[in-house]
Amino acid sequence: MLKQLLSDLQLTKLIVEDLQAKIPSSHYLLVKKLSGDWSKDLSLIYGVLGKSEDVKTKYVSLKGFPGNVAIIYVDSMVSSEELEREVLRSLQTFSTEVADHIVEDLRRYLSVKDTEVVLRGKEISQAVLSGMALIVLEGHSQAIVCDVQGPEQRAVSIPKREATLFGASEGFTDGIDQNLSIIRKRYLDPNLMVRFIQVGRRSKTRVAVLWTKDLAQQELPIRVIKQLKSIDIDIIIGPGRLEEMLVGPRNRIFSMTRTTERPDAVVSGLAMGTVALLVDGSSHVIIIPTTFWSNFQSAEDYEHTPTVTFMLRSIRFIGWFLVLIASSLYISVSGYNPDIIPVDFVTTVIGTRTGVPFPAVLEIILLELVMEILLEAIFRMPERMSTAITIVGALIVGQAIVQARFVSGLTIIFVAASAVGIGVLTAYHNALGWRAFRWLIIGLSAIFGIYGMFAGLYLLFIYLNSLETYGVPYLSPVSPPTVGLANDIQVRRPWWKEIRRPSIFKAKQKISGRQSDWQEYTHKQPFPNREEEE
Amino acid sequence: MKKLVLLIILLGLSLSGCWDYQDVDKHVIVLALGIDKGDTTRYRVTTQFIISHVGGQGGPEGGGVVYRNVSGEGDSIESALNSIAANLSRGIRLGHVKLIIIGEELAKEGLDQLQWLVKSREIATRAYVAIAEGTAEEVIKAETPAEAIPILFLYHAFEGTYNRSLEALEIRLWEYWRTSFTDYQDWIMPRVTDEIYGMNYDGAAISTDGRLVGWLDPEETALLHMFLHSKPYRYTAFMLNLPADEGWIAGRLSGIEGEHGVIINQDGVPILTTTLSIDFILRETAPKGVGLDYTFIEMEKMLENAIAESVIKMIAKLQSFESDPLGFGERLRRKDPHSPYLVDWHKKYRELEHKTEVKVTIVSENRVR
Repeated sequence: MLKQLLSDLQLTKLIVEDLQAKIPSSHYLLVKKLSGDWSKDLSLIYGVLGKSEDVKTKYVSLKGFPGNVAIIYVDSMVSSEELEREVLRSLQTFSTEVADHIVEDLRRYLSVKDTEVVLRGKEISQAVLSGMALIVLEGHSQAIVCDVQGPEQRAVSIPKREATLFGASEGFTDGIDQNLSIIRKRYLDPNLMVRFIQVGRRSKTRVAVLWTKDLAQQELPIRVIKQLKSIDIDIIIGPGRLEEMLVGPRNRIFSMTRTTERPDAVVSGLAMGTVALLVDGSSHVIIIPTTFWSNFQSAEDYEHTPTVTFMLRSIRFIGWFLVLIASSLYISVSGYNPDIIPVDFVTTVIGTRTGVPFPAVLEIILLELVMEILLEAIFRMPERMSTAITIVGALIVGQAIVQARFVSGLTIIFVAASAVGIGVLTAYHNALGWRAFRWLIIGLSAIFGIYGMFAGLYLLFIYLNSLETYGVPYLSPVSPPTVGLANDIQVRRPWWKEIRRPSIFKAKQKISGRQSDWQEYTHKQPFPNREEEE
Repeated sequence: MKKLVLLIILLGLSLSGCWDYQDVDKHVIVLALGIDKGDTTRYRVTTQFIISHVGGQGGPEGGGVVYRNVSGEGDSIESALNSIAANLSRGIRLGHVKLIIIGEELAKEGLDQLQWLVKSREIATRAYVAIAEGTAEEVIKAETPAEAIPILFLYHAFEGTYNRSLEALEIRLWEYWRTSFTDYQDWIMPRVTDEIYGMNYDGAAISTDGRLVGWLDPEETALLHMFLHSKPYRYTAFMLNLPADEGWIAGRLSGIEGEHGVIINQDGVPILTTTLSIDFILRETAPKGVGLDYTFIEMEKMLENAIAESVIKMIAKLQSFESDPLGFGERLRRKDPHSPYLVDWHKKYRELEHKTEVKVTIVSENRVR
């Protein structure tokens, strides 16, 4: 009861805070109509479209029409060829006698697939952001939108590195404009801001900075843009180099940003108040800032029920822990502390180790090395070759190595467990960081036994605690603890109950919706009578 | 900074080091210690340990684990262990000692040397202790068909978790250690023999003043066990002869809640009290159906009397041995630290009156209703 009351209070506080934070004017503009006053209309249009850099305006003049004419469109969403052929050329040849009918005449004259007359800010925003071109005429309270949506530049690929069973199967491509349109398609919010910056002395790579104006912390995009502008480097050819230049020395072992090729991940990031960076020529998008927990979150989690999500994330957590300790646990138990395991297990360990010439430490280190080489070989090789390598390396060598009593069978189990554990982590490039850190723990446990293993883990947590990017501590919201607002870490609350944005990114608006009163519609009342409704 | 890191690493290396790294298969892992009186020396220590063995059983490709029993003598347990280690060429690890068995003859003299075992920090205080009938060496060296490593048979017998017979009394090293702090409670340990399955437990050994003085048979052990710890999942069998040679009923005592204590009467004389609350599961009657002529209330009454009688007998036996494993003296000391009965407690304990109260509920007659 009290808990309910407290959470209600907390919620009310958040809602009041959101109201106090200035509600962006675009909400008010959405219901406003065009007036015919040129400067007012333009500010209305730019207001509902957001002052993004990919919103382009082209002024043209029409024969027999004295006023200004502007064509406004989102660059990444329209086909420039179609725009030029069907719209601009038509406008050049168009002429009118009766100025009052010009909107209707023009609409009929244009040879594009679809045209429509729009009046309100809301219609304008929806049409333009979904890839239509808007034609505004001075002195008219009606505008025309025409469908010049561009065809896909190339087939949109399936995200291979972040595979999911459920959820969107569309991934980013290498072209920045197309990637932008992929995001735009999913995120029609007029508050989405796009800023293009050229990075690289010689490569002059285009980098797009995306954020949601009314969600992202004020300083975050500013800091990111400033940092991007200050980068002075010859070439930028991928997100990795950019990422390092953005985050600096903290990027030493673990990547402090999230790199994804899934548009759904980027969109949900934007809706939480993070900044996304698109790099031309790369199908990977950088999300800043990120936290430790993103290692265990997958886009798929949000498609499953909360219980399944909890189970999946727990499994990933266990896998991650196995990566860190499986090998070092075997070293410590076998070499220093056999007393801590049950006697039946000791018997097994002794049994499998009998006749093996190397100490367990050497066994583990050799086998881990072989495993790293094998993994690297599999990733580098073309797909068909890598299958062969898997069979030869893992199956044949693994079997033979035990039969020859070169290493014990148990060692293989532990090393394999730690190698397989890598696979469950959703952020692959971070998985490599964990793999690197694992060597330190192996080294410590080879010297100090079980104490070394725990010292290694302790070091790891100290190190993780010291990390932060753009004001967000890496382990937040667990450390430093945020009481009551730690959502979506290990447990995901059901969506109809979860109306707060994750607190870690300090979004300006903390409430993302209204708690659904689903009981009212699904349980208590019979279905509404359709006739009565009408 | 770099110098500091280097210093820390060097210091760390000097504290411990990979040079004391030794693989588990290069150790001798002792599972049981048997301590007896030596022929010429003070102690004869028998160990059962596992050792890796190429060509043995269990492991793949002919490698595996074998067990060996090795004895050594010395004037101290340490020197006896040392003499064993000296002949083995491998390090002895006592961390996995599961069972410490003391020979009868040594136990009669007292168990003070067990104190060393607790303090050694090498032996886990979770290890079980037991008294051998005869010598500990005989028990440890006995063969058993049930386990590849014989001593594990006895270990698993003690290690069972719940729903087991109350005759299995298991005492861990720390439990013995706890009783050794007071003069008003005596240790009790299971008796182990090498008779039935090679090795098995059979009743309990009781003591006074730290010395072994006698044995309890399994039935008495089960009764005593009811008061030692609360064991809700444990059971024991009980049989009741019906009056006038009509036959008998038998069943299981379970859901046992036993309490014991001391009350002091008006004259300041302590009286030992025991109370038992038991659920009885009626399992068989003989001749067939005969017991069911009685009502449950009548049967409960008869059972209560019969159980009370055996409890009184068991306590009387303990009193006759001047052994106080339940710690009646300790209860009295806590109640009245200045009681004159605490002086020379064991002698006075022998004469004290004992009252018992037993409540039996027949919870099931084992029939489908």
